[in-house]
Amino acid sequence: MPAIIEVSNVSKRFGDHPALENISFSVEPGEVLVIIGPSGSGKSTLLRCLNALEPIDSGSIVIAGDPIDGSAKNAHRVRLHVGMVFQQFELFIHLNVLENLMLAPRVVNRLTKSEAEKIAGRYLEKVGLQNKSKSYPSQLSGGEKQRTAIARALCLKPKIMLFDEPTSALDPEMTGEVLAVMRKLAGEGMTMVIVTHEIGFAREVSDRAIFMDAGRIVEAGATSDVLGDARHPRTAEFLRKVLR
Amino acid sequence: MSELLNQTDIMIRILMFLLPAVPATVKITLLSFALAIVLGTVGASGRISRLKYVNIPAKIYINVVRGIPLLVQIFFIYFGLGKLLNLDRLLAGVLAIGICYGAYISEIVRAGIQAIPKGQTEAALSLGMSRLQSWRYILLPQAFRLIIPPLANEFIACLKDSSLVSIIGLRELTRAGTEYYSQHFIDFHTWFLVGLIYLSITLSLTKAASVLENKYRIPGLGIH
Repeated sequence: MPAIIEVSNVSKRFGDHPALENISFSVEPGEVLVIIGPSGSGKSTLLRCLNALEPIDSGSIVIAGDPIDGSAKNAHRVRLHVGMVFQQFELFIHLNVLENLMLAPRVVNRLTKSEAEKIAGRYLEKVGLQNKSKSYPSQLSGGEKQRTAIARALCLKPKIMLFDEPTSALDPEMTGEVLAVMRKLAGEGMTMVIVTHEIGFAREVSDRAIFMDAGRIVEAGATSDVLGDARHPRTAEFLRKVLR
Repeated sequence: MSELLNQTDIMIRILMFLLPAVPATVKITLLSFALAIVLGTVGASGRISRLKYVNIPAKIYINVVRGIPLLVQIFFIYFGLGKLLNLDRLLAGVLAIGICYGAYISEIVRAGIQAIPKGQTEAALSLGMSRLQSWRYILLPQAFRLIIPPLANEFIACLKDSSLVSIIGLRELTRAGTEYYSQHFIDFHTWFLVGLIYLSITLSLTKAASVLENKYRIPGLGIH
């Protein structure tokens, strides 16, 4: 099967600081890939490149057969295939839960109000928040916010979901409900790329893992290999620290 | 007793003369302020834009207009441009005030927009919205809620500054005061009442602004 994400020799600098160096990997449809690594290793930057939120300096990224070319039109097209979930949720604070979900289907996909409401209702149910549809983001718990954000991204029926440390801003007791939703998505065959520090969860749901450090891929392979039996000393050291 | 009656009578007569000019003041203010909001939004987006040919003109507009007294701008637009383009008094007055206030409001709108976390825009973009849509549906609605108090300030200032167009012969409240005075030479009562009318309008606007602020208050946005 052809890869749905094809990243070849991608490099990117922020001023003098190399953020990504010669990154290559691919993801097949239905695959779940986790990216782990210390803070500042370029994981989030890499993820943001995958939906054209960050431009790349060199190399190429092809999403569902469509190469990212830096134009606004292309970025728009790519983002319709790619849903994104942010560490800080980024729910639209002036809109209630239902409106958060309905906005993009209404203005991007130009659905009618009742069509958008139907889709929003379906995904709210999927994340278990149908009784919160009239709440404002500030009235939700962290876990509820992140589940809303996941539902909002799903409303556009993306082929790929990107998760940027989706549980890092949550209290420990809230992470479970978010991971449960993600587990369900993975089970349904959604292609997912997840930046996370939840090693246990990564082991459980992901097919493959990438370990990054200082803008480079240090180690990549089947999750059981990278997270179970790390060959590279840098990976092993990192895993020892996060698992302790 | 008869002196008091006489005083009241004078006041009522002056008031009857002044009140018909209030709608003109309100009209000039509303038109100018509507223009100022449009120019302020455009100016703010220009100031925020990284495109040089948008950013630089916006900067020039704001700094030039802010640096020249409104009265001079009114003279320039009415006597200078007005003769050239054949502008009537109302249009010239509204243009002058609107352009001037647009510059101030540009900076207020810019502050409001820049107070919104960057992640809100990124979330909008990641959902397939265009830059324009992210402004229309996310940034502006949030920013306008934040800037209602400073906008109310500008609106009140705009109402008061509408008195400046009396100088080009637009018949509004202040002009009516001048007319009454020059016919009857009663200065204290006339200007006392003109001031009182302005004050009663601005106080009701202050009240309206706080109603608006409460109506659009978003749970969790801004400091309460």
